[in-house]
Order: sequence, then structure tokens, then C-alpha cells
Amino acid sequence: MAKPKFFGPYRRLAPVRMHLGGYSSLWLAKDYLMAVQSTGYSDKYSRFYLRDIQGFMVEDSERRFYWGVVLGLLGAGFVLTSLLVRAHWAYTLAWLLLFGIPLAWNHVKGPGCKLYIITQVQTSRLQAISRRARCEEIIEFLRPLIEEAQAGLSRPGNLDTQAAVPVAAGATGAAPLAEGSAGEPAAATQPAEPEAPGENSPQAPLNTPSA
Amino acid sequence: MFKAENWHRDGMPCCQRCSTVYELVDFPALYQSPENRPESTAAALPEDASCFFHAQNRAEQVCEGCGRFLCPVCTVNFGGRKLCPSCIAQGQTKAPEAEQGRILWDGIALSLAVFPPLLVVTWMFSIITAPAALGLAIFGWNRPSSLVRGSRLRLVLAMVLAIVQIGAWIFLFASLLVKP
Repeated sequence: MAKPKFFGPYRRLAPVRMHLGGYSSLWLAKDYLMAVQSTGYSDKYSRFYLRDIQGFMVEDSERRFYWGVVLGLLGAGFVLTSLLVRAHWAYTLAWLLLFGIPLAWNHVKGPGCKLYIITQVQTSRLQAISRRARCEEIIEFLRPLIEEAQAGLSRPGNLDTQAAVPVAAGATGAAPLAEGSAGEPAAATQPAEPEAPGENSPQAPLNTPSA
Repeated sequence: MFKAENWHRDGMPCCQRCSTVYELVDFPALYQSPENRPESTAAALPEDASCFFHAQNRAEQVCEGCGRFLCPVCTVNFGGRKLCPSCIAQGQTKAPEAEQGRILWDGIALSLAVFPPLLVVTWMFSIITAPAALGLAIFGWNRPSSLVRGSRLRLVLAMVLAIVQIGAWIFLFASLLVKP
């Protein structure tokens, strides 16, 4: 992880990410994560206590592809135009650098992703994280902290640390858990019934452990 | 990283409802069912002190804000203190954990100082926006800024720009008045 930046009790986990309507960042305090959504005129803070975090859900996104297409087309268009009109070579070079550097940077940052944080009562997207590499880096950084905060809790005996979990949450933030008995997820104890996806079965058990 | 393929028997790492491909990193809190949580409604016996909010529950904590007796249901561990919901609702805690958001006076002041003079159409509004920016910068000087960014650089910048614009307007009017 890059050199951490601190502000008071907060440690920045992800650099500020601009998006439509503002920017987002992710910070770690003593015992909670804080997602900051800012418009520039007001901040909104969402806190996720480490002891409450049930998991992270990572979804692939096409962010790198779309940025690559946009930058590539714009860059190619401007460079070709300047070549066609026989502009000074400095103009062509300027266009090339203007779009080429962001294009290369977009590629170097790796594939995109969407990161969701799951607690018992919510599934929220962490908008500050948009690239797979940083996502994995942050999760690996947070994993021991969260497990330490949840040291008093245990997993079901038949599940190891990377065990089966029924998840039926989509991007809309539907409740992610299938109901289970006393510490065991339902799908871990009984095979899932194949059920056609539909509005009446948003939380149907989806899977079973492979082991 | 936990691969969804590890626990999908059919090897399809996606939600069967929306077909979204995802991976899950799970933690022990995921497996806690309500039955595993501590008993939170111990019934009060006649000789027990009872909760202020739930007379039928035995008191087990004292609110550090107001001193009321609380049962586990009403005890909120908030910023290292044990408070009742009423104290939290009344904002008796100044803990940063209580804040859901903040107004960034520095951002507003800086926008008022920067944007109007930039545009040909709106530069004349700076006769209003510059004093407003200066006022907001003074107003926001001692107000808390963002929880994660405390510099007053924006306020200083807004003040400087606003003063320059006010000075320019004064100079303009003065030169018009003294013009023969």
C-alpha cells in the first residue's frame, strides 16, 4: 500500500476519487471505516464498524474498457486531424501526450471493479474504490483488523475461513443473507433448491459449498 | 481473495437473480444469527432497578450522558461511551462518530470568490458574490471543516480573492465618481 496519509484519527485508505457530482474517499479510524462522499460544499459520512462488517462483495466493472475507448477515440481523432491538416508536429505531439498518458495510466491501473460492503442491515457501495488492484490491497489490509475486531465471533465448524456463504444481493442492496439456523447459513447445511430467478425469490439460497 | 467459484457447486460465479459476477470476502459476523447474540431483555425482578425506557427490563448500565438506568436494549456504545438513544438524539455527544455530515463553508466561499469573475456573463455578479464570499469565509473561520481535511487554505484563498474583487469594485466606483 502506498504511503498512508493521516488526518487526525483517520488514515486514508484510498485516494480521493472524482465522479459525477462530487468525490469520494475511504478512511480508517480506530474501530470503523468511514466512507466520505463530498460535493465540495458538503460532506456526508458513512461509518462501518469493523465488528459489524460481514463481508465485502467485489464485482467486476468495465471501467477500464470504457475509459480506454473514450480516450483512444478522442486521442486518435485529434492526432489524425492534426496530421491531415499538416499541423505543426508540436500540436500532434501535444494531442498524443494529452490523451496517450491518461490512456496508459488507465491501463496501468488495472481492471475496474465495484466494491460493496455488507453489514447486517445494509449493502453499500464504496465508491472510492474502482480498481481491482487497490480493492484487493485494501481488503488484505483490512482483513486482520476486521478479524481481530470480531475475535469473539466464530464461524460454523464446517466452514473454514473462506467458506461457503449464500449471497443473493445485487447492486440494489438487497439483503444478502439467506436465513440459517444458529450460526450456520442455510445453504451450508442443505443443498440449494434450484429455483427460477424471479421477483418472488429475491433471497433464495443460491449455492452450496463445493467441499 | 475468496473466489466465488470455490463455493458455487455449479461453478457459476454469479448471482442467479441478476447474473452479476462477484466475489465475496466473508468475516465471522456473517455467520452470527440472532440466537447467538447476548440476551438483551432480562426481566426485572421487583427488587431490581429497571430500565428508564423499558420498565420490565433489568437495568444493567448507566447512561454516561444523563445518568438514566439502561437495559442492554437501550445501551448504545457510542464513541467509547455508553449512552442512551435519547442523549444521542439530542446531540449531547460531541464525538466525531456522531456526525453524519458537515457543510464545507470553505468550499462555498471559494466557489463564490472564483467562479463569477471567471465568466464574461457573470463577472458583474461579483459585486454581490465577493462580499458574500468574504462574509462566508469569516463566518466559516471557526466552524468545523471536513472531518478529513482541516486546512484553512481555501478560506484564506477565498478571502484574498474576495478582497481583491471588492477593492476592484471600489476602485471602479471611485474612478467613476472623481471623473470630471
